[in-house]
Amino acid sequence: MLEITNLTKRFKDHLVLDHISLNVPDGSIFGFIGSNGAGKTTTMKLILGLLKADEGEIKVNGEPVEFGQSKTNRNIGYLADVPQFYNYLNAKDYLSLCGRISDMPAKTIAARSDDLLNLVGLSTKKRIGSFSRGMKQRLGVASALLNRPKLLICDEPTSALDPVGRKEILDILNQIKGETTILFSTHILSDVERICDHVALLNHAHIVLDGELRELMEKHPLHSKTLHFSSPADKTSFLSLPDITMHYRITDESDTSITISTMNLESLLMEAFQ
Amino acid sequence: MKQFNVFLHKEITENLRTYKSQILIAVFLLLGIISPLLAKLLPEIIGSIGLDGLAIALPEPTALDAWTQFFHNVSQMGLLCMVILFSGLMANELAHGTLINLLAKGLSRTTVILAKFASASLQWTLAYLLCLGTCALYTAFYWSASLHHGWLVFGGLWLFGELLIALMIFGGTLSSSFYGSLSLCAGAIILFTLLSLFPDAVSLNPLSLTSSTQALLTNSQSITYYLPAYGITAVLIASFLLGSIWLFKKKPL
Repeated sequence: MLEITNLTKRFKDHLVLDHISLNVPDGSIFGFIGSNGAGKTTTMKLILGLLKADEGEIKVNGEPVEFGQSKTNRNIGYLADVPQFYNYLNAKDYLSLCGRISDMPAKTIAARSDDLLNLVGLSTKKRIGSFSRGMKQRLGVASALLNRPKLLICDEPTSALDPVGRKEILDILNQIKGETTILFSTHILSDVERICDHVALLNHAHIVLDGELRELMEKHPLHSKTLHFSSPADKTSFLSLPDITMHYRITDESDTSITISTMNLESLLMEAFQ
Repeated sequence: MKQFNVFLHKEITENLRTYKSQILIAVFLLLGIISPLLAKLLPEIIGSIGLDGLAIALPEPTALDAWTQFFHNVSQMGLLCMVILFSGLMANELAHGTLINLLAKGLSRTTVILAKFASASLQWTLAYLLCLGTCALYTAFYWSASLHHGWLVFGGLWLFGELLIALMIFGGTLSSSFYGSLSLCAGAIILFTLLSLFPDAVSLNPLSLTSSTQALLTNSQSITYYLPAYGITAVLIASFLLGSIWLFKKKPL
């Protein structure tokens, strides 16, 4: 879906991306991890043709991206870290504007807007100027998904939100899993662990880690805990909990104990406790 | 073309919902009403001041005085009001990042510039015609007189307004700031004013479109003398628009 080859970007003397290559497979939720200022937003803006690359090539759905041109963007939905809207419009007006710009038929815009506003819980006629940050983020998700993009690019969608807002956004992304390929940048590892199946780690202008999340966790577990159960039945019922086997690497120790490896100890302990 | 219509509609909605269009129309309507009224009442106002028996002989006001007031008011207060209202045309969108989502939806950058120019032009033209119509009605009511070179004189001020709009879009695209856009307009007017100090350059100076009205109305200067200034202004408008498109396409967002 997205292929990045030898991408390089400099801002004056500061080298932000140094010949990075990345392949986002179809249908994946790709976690793009890096600290603040690592170059995640720059990479995303380069994919959208909003910034000019110094070297390298980006292909979206097989088509090369050109700076200043928006042709490849018809396959992309973009959610900025702090999305900005026109305060004098309401959510439905805004989605209608986006739909008409994407050349969608009026009936489809109306039906799709209703569905998406229900999905993100924004059935209000209030103008966007009175929206909270979380509401704007949810409107951003709705606008990004409006034209059923093949690739959804989310730039730190949860970083500026409180725990409830974060959960809402992650739940929405989880719901559309399978419908569209998602490139999701963040510096919050527990969010990556929760929804991503592939990851790449950007550090000092290079991709230092790249691959399937489960494989990487097996190779590089940061934490592991051995859990002892009172009976084999308890162990079986723990392993049947949703998402446990999907998100954590589990090694059988005995009939009543297992070892779980994770990058985020805190979220593991929460799940175990629950 | 479809994207152009959609974005133009968005621009018009924006100007209506933020009351910019209404303010512009109200100011120009007021200027249209007060210009002939001021011309009519000025001798009476001055006469009523009473300067200790000093007699001031003022000629009877004519339709020409009303139009002189019109051009004086519109070219100063009117254009200033328009520049303040429209200086944020490109600058605000670039400074707030509101265009990013629409560009990510496939909106063409050329369309943004052209639709913004069309929307501001439409409002300026409408406000100007309303002001002109009101002034003409009142002037016809108070006096009856025909004008020399009417279309060219009125067209000149309108074209100068279009030049300011193109300048504001260029300034906003270049600087991404309201003050950058305003400064470029102010800088251009200062430059044109300095140029008008050279008598040889008067016929080429875009500022002549607003300052030559008296000479044309009184038929004291021929039309052909000022035609190069009209041509140069039209070329400048096209150049600033093309420059804005070129600049915007090269601009990292």
